[in-house]
Amino acid sequence: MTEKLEDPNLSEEDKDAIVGAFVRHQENERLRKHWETLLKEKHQVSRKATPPKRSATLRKLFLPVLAIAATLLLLLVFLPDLMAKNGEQMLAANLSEISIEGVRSESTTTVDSLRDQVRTTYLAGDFSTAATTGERLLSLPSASTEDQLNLGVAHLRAGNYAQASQYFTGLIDPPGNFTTEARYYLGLSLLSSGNTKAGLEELQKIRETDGGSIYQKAQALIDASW
Amino acid sequence: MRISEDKNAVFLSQFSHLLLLLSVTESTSMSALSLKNNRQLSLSATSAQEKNFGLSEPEFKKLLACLQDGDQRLFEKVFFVHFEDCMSYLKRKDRASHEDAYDATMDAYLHFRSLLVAKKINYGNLRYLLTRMARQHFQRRQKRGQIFTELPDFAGDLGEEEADISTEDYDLLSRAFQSLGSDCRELLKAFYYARRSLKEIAHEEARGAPAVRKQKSRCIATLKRYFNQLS
Repeated sequence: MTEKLEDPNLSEEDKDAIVGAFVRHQENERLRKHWETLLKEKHQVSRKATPPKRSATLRKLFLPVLAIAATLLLLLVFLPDLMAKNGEQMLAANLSEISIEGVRSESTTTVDSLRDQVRTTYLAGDFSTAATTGERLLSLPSASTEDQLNLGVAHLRAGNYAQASQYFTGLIDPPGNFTTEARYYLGLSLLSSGNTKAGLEELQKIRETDGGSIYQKAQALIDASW
Repeated sequence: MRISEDKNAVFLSQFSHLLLLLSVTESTSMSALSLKNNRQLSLSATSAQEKNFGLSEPEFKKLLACLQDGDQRLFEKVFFVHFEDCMSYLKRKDRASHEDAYDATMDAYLHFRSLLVAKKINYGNLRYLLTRMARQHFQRRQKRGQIFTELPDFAGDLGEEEADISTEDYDLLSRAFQSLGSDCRELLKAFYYARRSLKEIAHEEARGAPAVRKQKSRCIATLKRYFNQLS
């Protein structure tokens, strides 16, 4: 068309055709924009497809379904915590249940005599005395690993968590007959001293094969809320 | 590619008859195009007003007069209510996407307005004509002519094929047009877009028709000169 418009001999009809086409196209484009705005604003019709409207039934169901979903979500979030027992309360109960092991015997020797004193004072609730007596007992060459465990327990009940942990750790490495119990009590000592993370980690090391009862107790403490 | 006025006039007289004939023959196959709000875009509508978007013949003449005066408001009021219906028809009938239906309907509306201004459409079955034009524009946009072989090319026959103007030339012409004085721009728009005769323009401006004709020639010469300078 450029060539045509540059032609000095362009006929009036051709000029009309070109200029007319241009003017109509230009004005139509202007009108198109105006109509697009008008359709959008006054008739809610736009070139971009609008998402389909929800049906009335769906709209009615929307709020109840939303409420149910929100309730379920809340339960899902908070129910485990509501159902989980309080760890500290559980720990206190577990501590109160601890008894020292060993068969009561006639106190014919110093060792046996000291073992009886430990037991007696422990059962009387005098955990400090039991611990002090246990220290004396453990210094004797004939003291056993069970005496070390009981001494650790006495310290644990007396609130001497550092000493208790020390005796329990000694029973874990190297492993012996009371390794599982020592690990369990070490876990309790750490939990009692406020070192929750380390205490739970220690309890997690207890396997089901180590003993059903102690494993269940450890798991209960692990699952408790802390 | 512009069909002469004489050819258009002959065609239009034939077209009105053809349109009426088609509206009867196709009423069985396209009996009722269901639309939203239970409105029916029926090609077999009995009332003349139903076939003409509720317009009576005097109202139609008033609409034409408004358009020729450059006032689109009545056109918009009457026809925009049916814009979405027309889109829905294309979506349903031709499986047009929303965007394609919108574009084709918009093209048809612009084309329809232009034909009304050019007095190339008579009162008769406007609803049917507009719908067919929308389908025709959709066809053009999709360039899937074979699917639409059953549809006569009304729009093409109505002589609206324009001279091809490339985008580049269009931009140059736009710049040249903006450089014209406002008198020239208004005169060219009145003549080419509002399709008013030079005599009508001269009468409104209380001038002689030859003076307006000369002014138009000068405006086109100036536009041509600006265009050549820009290109």
